[in-house]
Amino acid sequence: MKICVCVKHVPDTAATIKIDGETGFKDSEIKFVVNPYDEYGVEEAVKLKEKNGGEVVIVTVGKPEAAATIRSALAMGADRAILVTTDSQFLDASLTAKALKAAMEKDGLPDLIFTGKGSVDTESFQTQYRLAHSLGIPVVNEVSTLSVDGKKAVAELEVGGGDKQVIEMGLPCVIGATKGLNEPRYPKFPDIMKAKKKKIDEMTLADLGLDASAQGVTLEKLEPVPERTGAKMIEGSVEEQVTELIRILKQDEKVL
Amino acid sequence: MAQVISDRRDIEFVMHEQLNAESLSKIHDGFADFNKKTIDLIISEAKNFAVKELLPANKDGDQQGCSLENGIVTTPDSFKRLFALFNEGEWLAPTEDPRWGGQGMPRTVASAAAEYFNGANYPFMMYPGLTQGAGHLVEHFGTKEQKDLYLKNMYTGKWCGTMLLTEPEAGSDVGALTTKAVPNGDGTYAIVGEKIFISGGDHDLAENIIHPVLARIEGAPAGTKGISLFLVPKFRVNPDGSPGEFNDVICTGIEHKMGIHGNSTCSLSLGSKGNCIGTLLGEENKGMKAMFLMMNAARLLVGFQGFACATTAYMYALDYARNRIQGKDLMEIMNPDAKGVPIIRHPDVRRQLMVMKTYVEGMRSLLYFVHYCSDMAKFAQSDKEKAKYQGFVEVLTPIAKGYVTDRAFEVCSQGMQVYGGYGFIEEYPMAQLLRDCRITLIYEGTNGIQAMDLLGRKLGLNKGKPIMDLFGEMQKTLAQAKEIDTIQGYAVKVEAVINKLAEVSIHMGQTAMSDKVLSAFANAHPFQDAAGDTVMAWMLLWRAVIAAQKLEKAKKKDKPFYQGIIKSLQFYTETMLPITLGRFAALMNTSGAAVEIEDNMFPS
Repeated sequence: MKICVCVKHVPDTAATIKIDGETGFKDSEIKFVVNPYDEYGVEEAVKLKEKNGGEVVIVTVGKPEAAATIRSALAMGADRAILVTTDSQFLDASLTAKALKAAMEKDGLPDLIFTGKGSVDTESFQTQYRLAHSLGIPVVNEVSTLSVDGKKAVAELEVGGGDKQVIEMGLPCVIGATKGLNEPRYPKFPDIMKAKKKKIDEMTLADLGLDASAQGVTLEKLEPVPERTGAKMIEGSVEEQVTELIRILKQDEKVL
Repeated sequence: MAQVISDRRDIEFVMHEQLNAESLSKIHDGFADFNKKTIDLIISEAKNFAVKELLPANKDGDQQGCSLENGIVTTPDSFKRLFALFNEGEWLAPTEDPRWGGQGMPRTVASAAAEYFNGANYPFMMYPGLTQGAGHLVEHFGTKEQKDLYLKNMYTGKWCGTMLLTEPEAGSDVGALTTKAVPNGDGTYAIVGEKIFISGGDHDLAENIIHPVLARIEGAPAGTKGISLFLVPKFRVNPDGSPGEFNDVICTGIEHKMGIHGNSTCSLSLGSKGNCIGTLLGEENKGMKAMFLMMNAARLLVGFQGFACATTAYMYALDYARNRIQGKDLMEIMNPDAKGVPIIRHPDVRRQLMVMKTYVEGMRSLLYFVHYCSDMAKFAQSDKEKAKYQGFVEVLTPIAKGYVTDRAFEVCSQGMQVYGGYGFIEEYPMAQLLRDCRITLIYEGTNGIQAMDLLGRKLGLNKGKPIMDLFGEMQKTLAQAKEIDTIQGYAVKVEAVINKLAEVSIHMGQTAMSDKVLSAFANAHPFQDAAGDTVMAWMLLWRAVIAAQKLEKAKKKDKPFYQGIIKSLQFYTETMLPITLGRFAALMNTSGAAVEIEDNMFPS
């Protein structure tokens, strides 16, 4: 079984990001990591490979520096990788999906595709749907339990209120992984050593016949989240506190 | 916060720009795979594991600690998962021989992993650390049978290891030990004795614990000349390698300590029921010499533990100083409308951060350099080179342990000071770092013992050749620095201190061989301080030479980093080296007051 895992190279969520100009940020000053939700996909793919054999291929669309992030995914047990290089961190989801599709078609379509449920930088939560639609295959997002058996996959996802939905679908399909699916492993030291010898095929968008300027969504401006100020402690008895809170919500903030 | 435990950029600076660790891949086939990219990937993954797993369990380990109930020692709950993950990742024996389950990594490279791991949770790291050290003894001195029986299980963390030296009446004076070994007639020995202060002496992390034990074979000479080394497992090992019968090694108590609560410090009773069996490791009566193989490595590890507390404290303090708003800017002090500023704006806080910065950087460079020397001592091209680097390791070990941990504790104390009152509160990380750091000045040979080692043994080692070689290396750095306009002024000041060290070393060496020998040793610790200061100055100058050369063509993001390295040198030469010169003046006095004062002149 051939499994592709779409991995995005994203800023570490613990990093302090400094915005540079209108739409840039000082990416050379911060650490990048495997998108945390994609790690669940890598782990699940590697587990399936360990159980049933086959091959796990990492597919990334990102800046050339993403190669270092890909090595971490390879150290978790993936076999090789494809990196479609771009100039921007913020490619829109439709172009990302097109690039992923083209790269996979070029390499030979897999039996199963994993993505994360979303990326922690842009959080547009669209790539997996667009990718599946363009390939004409089923997609389920936010999958927390998965079994793959022969020609079908059974995915469970939480739908709120403690309820779970169970979906059975044919292969190939796209699975958007989320927390709870597994516990991503830490690479073993010998696997770190092996990772650097694994192959990363690099290609550009143009090599795949795609035009970087043909984006449906463009980034206008990046702004830091304003620091929250003016927190106010409401004093008094519970009754007084509640009365005052309702007054603030109605009169001052006008949200009620 | 941006970074915890360590400054990644500075680790890369020492690894690649100062020591060029990648070049090791060319001198030894086993290192061929360790190119720059691989080294960086190893650092990333070690950091990842340290930050995500080891660090969160550090406070937990401190608060829960270890307990002894019904003869069973229990470690903190979170440590079990950590130990399993650590072994799955195969991190326990990174530098050991791959034939026995090690990873064959250069020590230089392993330094970075050790820094992150120990900075995150060094009480935990003592379990795998001692296991690696004990395994190294088996690898070096063991018979084929001993190696086959123990080694792979130790290097993979299935079994743990310790070191059993100290007894109630034999601490710093190991030669006074009374643990006895009586031949059983079948090649094994019956071991009887009491050992105390045994780190990781008993616990629930592994199915067996292998103790290297110092004991005296019946009838052997008194003192260190009659000591032999034995391997004593907690559970005897069956011929098929499985743990068998209990070997009568009983934990009779665990210590309630000021720090490192997560590590069990045990009193062990060996053979109290007459059922403890050990096998000789190495030769009879050569146990002390053999044990020094583990002790020297352990001394460097302790230097790393202290340093790891210091770098972690520095990163916390820096983050706190940038975020804690308190007090007006000094220039706005009369302005009633001035707002509070982050405390990093206050000159005295900046001074504290500079003290932390210079020591942490200098210590990092020194400790990695000592590990680099260990790699070179093993794999350099010629025997002459090997001997030179081995000499460096030996001369620098007391400084890397004694001097570094003395300063590391000061750095932790400065870190606490930056936090103000919150530093003293256990909710914040400083209190634990300061408590945990304190033992590094004491165990593995107190810092007083280290100073005596430096003065009494290392100065005159091989007729003084290693120390002369070291001065030679320092001269090379001085010559380079004097060629660079921006730092030559500092180089002149560092040179004065290096020359003074040479002069005072001769004076101290001569005094130690004169009738004033006791006065010399009463000044051994101050001598270690001054020698350590000088080595730090050398390291900071070495770093500044590289930074100054790279500054002009540096990328925009690297410029402040390199400028900061030169500022460290400036700060050290202008504020601390005058104190070092004062220390040298005191050493030339070689005051005899401490040895001349009669015991009855102290209060009764």
